[in-house]
Amino acid sequence: MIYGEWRDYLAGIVAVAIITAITIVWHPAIGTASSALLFLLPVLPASVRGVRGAGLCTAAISALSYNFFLLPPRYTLRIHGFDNFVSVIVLFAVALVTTRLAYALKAREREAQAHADSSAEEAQFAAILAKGEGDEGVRVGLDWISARYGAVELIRDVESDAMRLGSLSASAAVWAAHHGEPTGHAATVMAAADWSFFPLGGDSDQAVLAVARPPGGASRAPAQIAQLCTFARLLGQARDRAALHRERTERQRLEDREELRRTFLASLAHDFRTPLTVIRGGLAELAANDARPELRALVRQAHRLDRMMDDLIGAARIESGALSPRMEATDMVDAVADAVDAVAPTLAQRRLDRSVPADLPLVRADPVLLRHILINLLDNAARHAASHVSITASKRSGRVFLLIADDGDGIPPGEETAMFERFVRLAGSDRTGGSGLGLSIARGFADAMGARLSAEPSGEGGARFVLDLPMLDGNDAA
Amino acid sequence: MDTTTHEPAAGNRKRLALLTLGAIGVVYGDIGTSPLYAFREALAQCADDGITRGEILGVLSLALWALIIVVTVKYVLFLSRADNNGEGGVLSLMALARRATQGKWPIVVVLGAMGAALFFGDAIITPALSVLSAVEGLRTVPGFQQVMTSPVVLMLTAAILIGLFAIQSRGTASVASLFGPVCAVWFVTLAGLGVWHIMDAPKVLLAFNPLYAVDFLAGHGVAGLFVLGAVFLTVTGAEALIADMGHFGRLPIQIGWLSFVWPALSLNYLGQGALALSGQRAAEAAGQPFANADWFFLMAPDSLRAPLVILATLATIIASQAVITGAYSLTQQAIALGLLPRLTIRQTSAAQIGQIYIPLVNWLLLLGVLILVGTFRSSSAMAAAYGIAVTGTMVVTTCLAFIIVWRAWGWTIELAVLFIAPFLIIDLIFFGANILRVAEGGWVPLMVASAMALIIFTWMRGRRTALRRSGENGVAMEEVAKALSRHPPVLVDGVAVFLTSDTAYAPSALLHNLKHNKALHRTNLILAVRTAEAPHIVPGKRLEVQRIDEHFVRATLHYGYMDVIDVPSDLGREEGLLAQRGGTSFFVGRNAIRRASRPVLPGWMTMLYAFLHRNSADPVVWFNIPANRVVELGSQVEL
Repeated sequence: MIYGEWRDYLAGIVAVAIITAITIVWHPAIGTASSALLFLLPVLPASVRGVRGAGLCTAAISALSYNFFLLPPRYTLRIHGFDNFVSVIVLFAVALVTTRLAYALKAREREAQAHADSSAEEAQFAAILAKGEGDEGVRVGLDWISARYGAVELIRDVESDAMRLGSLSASAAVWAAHHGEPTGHAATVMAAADWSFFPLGGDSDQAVLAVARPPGGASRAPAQIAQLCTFARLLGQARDRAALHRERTERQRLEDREELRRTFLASLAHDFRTPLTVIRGGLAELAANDARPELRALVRQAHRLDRMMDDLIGAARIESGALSPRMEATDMVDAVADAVDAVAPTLAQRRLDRSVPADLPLVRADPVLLRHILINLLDNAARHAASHVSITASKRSGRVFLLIADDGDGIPPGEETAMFERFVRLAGSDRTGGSGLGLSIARGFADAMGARLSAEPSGEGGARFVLDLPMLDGNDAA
Repeated sequence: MDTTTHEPAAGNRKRLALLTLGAIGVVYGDIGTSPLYAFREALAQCADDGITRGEILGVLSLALWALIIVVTVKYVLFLSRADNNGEGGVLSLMALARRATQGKWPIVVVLGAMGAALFFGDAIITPALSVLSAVEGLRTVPGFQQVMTSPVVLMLTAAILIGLFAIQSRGTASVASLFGPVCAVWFVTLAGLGVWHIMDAPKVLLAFNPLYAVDFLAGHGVAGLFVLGAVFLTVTGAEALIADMGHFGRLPIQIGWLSFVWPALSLNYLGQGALALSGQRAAEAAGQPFANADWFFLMAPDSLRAPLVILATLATIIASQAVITGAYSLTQQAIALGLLPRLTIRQTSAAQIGQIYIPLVNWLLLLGVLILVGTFRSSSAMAAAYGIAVTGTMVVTTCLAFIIVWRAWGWTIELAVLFIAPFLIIDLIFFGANILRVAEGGWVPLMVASAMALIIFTWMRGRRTALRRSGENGVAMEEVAKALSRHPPVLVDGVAVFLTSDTAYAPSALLHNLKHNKALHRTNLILAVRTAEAPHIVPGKRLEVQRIDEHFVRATLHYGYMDVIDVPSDLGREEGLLAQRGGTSFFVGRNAIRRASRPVLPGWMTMLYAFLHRNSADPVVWFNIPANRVVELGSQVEL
């Protein structure tokens, strides 16, 4: 800063020479006092561009010239009398202050310029990051920083990734990531490191931007550190955006797949239904007139297919949230009888103990859903029972409990809830013919009606399903 | 930096020239401004009965030979070799002597403390005296005698000094590059003025004959001693030659002195002598008594006197700057070596390590300088106060040099005594000569030095006692670690660094943390920071780590007394220490000093120590730990 550009020095010297010539030639007219004022002028061209050295130098030359050429005794450097000394000092002081002011002005201008430059650079960087899709933007951004600031690296995980830069740099990187402040070269923390580290911020506390110290042992300017800090933050935001974008795409993909599955299920249920009904009706008619066992088996299978269809539709309805039960007074005794009739073909080989008191109170339920639940539970029991299935009903404290038990292999401990999930077939039980949907749909329907369905081991080692429903009038407790 | 070992190639030669120029600006400023007043003061001591030709030559001879023996032989040729890994100065010598005697000789520390204390006395007089004498030069400018009354001179001096101290906080790195060239111009001017006047009376060259000096001393008795005390002013500032050796290296300092500064100074003193001789001859011819005068400024012709005063003022400002910088650097070393409490130290230059500013030292120096200027009011009066601090430092330096020659260089004691004795005798003669002037003003630096010595003594003794006290009440670290491994508290991620002075005991901050937070970090570092008796320790060799168990690590960081302390960086160099999940926190115990029911120290000492302790700077800043990572836990120490 002391040694500025030669042009300013030259301008000062030339100006002094001109002023000297003018004042010498017209000395009698101008007078010594006014000459002193004229000698202030050369300082202006020298210092106007803010070169401090040129201003000071010109001030000194100006004061000396004034002293030498104009102050009596003229053509000596001797200062005669204190008043002359004062005028030289004042000349020098004014020149000095002028230079300082010009310099300060220039410095402020430079500061503003630097500020504008850094803002512009920041905007440019943000634009570059925004242009690239996802991770591509981050990569281009890194290249851009690298082109301006030298070697750059993005350390994705400071704990595993930074060690290759040496242990001091690794410590600095970890510090930057965990404490969210710049570290390393030219920062306040661990300035001895060869790299500077800037936290990316945002969602990641493991990633930092590493920038190598400038080659040749120079020190990075604080302004650059601040700028890189901003870049790292923008880079972090870009990374977060990219991650968010990835996440959203993934979720969209999952949703699309689910939608497809649902549509497929619904169309399967509906479009198969009609031909199936025709086949079942035809088969039932044939079987009524013909006692061949193959026919009866065909009827049974058609029934099963029909129930499966019911299940699929039920599942689709639960899934789509379109299930709105119509609650009405329902007679449990009739419902059980109806359901037993429906699964009669499957139940045929099992002994059925039915103990449903005829005086059971009415319950609040959707008869269609209730029938479906009972059919599914009975079908499940019939398929798993070794020899017999029992249905027991009772009422207790405002609710009606229906227990359906079998003497099959039972439920493995801890699986009491899992078995209600869709497409679950419990291990160890070679279940025949189940779709894996039945229990799940029973549970779904029960939930929709406000009934409770649970499973527990039965006394005979098999499984027991408990369905409990609210009475029509909950206060009518026996 | 050892520049003497290799042949200077072309690049090296340029570097050497630059370093020499830099040294001329910093190292020789103080001694280079002595011609302003030294000769005048020495002559003044024998002016009562008029000055004779013999007296002029005698004084001159003494001055020339003081430069030869004290500066050239003792400092430039001998003491510059008694360096501590390239560093010189009284505290570096103390550190070297302490290392050579394995720290077992208390006298070494006492000498070092005395040297440091005297330096502060020196540091307030040098700026006051040299700036004042330069401004007084304005009186010799024609047309200024009426204006430059004593109050004006004093006010101008005070303004320059206040300005000088006020800009210290902004750092002087930006103008430091001008120091060398300005001082070079100054020395060329000294030499030029000298040569010009030697022509007036070539007989002055007789002064090179030491017999004139011997005759003078023999013929003047006690008065001769007073003159000797004043002659000593010619060599003030010689201490700076070795104090700044670490910055410039030995060779540039030797070259600068032998080829440039010494000749310039000698020529100038000879010129002043010649001027005095011709003046004396003229007075004798006119039959008038010959009076002493401001010889230095009179050497310049009337018309050039104003520029000379300006140049002299610049030179004295640079010299004062060198002393102020020296005072910062000495303070920093004294703190590192445990002589003084930690003070706030600011780095004034981000690019240049070692550009420091110590606010407290700065303002205390300014206060002392202004009091001196206000009390003594003239450079002649102040010169009486000057010598004693400098001669005192020189005696201390010579004594330390003796220990180094004997213990570190391995000379036999006879040889060492034989070698050192002449220097010590000369130092003691000068010291004795200055002791005579205690009443005239020598008490000022002695008072400052005593106050400093008292502070140093209290601080060292208080710290040792406090350390012993906390050791008595401490729990061994191993025991704590074992107990914690049996009943582990909640573990949290991260590294906790506990700063302590003795790693054998569990730091109180650790115990407090366990007691109040009921948690332990995954890694706990029990860290002590120590200052070695070498000026620098390479970064790779600073950390010493010892693992106690899974969660506890004991570590010691060793720094040289001139190293810049940066604890996070040096811990980070150790693999896998700080690079852990959960970040790093620093725990610092802050002791409050309380008076015990059965005190160990005298009451005033406890109070002074408590005061120093309370006002010592934040260790966190000293260790370069970022303030937002620090947890301070208080505890009490009874003394």
